[in-house]
Amino acid sequence: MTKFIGNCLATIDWNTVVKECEMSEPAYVGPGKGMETDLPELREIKEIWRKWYTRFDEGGTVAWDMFFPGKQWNSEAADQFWDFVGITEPVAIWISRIWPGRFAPIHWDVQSNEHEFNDNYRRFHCHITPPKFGHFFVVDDTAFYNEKQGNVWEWNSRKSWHAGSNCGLEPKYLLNAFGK
Amino acid sequence: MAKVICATDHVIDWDLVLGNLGTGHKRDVKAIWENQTSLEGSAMYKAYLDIAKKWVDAGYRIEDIFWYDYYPESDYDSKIDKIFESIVQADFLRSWISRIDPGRNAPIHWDIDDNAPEWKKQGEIVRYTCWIDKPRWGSAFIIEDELFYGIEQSKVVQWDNWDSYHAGTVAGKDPQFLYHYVGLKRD
Repeated sequence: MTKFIGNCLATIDWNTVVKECEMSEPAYVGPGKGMETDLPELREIKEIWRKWYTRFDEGGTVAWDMFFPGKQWNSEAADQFWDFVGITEPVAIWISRIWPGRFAPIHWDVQSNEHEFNDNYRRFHCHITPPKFGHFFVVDDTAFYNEKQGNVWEWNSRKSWHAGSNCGLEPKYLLNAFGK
Repeated sequence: MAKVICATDHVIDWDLVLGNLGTGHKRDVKAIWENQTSLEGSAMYKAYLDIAKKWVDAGYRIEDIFWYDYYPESDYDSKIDKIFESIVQADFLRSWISRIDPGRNAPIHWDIDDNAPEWKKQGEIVRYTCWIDKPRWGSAFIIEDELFYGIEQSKVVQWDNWDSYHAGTVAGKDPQFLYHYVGLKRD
């Protein structure tokens, strides 16, 4: 089960982080080049997407912007997040942005070096803006809506299936992280 | 708050209804947006345009917005409406079944109806939505501030206000089917 860890808003200034992202160009627009590789772990995702989903730049609705600490937003906030969740060996942390009408469809985060990660790695997400109408996120069988700004959740597994979409009027920002 | 009030599985075989649905009608917002003169006769013309303008201003690509509606008589047996009417005890005004495909939204809106001014003269309008398919991963429906997710097949949600803002989104791998009923509250 997805587990509530706590609220980190008192220790991390997410409003500033979001402003930094708003003022930056994203590092890239997902899905990244990795989706074009032939990793066996991607096959099931690709099979699902093939029927229903098309990238936004190819006329569909699949697109999310990616922002990284030390690039588009301050790395101090990332350090504060690792401290908050008690991770001493961070692997990856990023902010995703989904514009109204766009999707990060059902998938799990396949790494190009999957074999390097065992089950000891912990996966988190954090709701870094106040709740907005139409910002939908689901991990395994837990759906998230109207979550308080700063709420942190730990996933059952780094490989949990998840998805996000936005049927509201404002962009949706979400922090994602994993490490051990 | 909108809330689940009852189930309908004891009186309606929703799998049968879904299996026999007609071809339905594509609600293509792009076609409407590009042919605005077609709405000029509508009493609710301004309301239609206000919603579509909000979507465009928010960054929606208008051609991305579509869903499908199915109607009694042409797409499903109108006996369903009679049965539903007896369950919710609200006199039938209209019904439809909506389908949203994966990767699509019915973005935030309220259901504009040209007949609403006339209906209001007759009494209080009430609105219900029934989850007619089994729970599907990634299929969500939002009414005002409330998310409905993983709702069991046949469950009925009563809305606080028939014209509440709402939205549907599907980020999984199966379409979302909902039965919608608008009626007049009985005394």
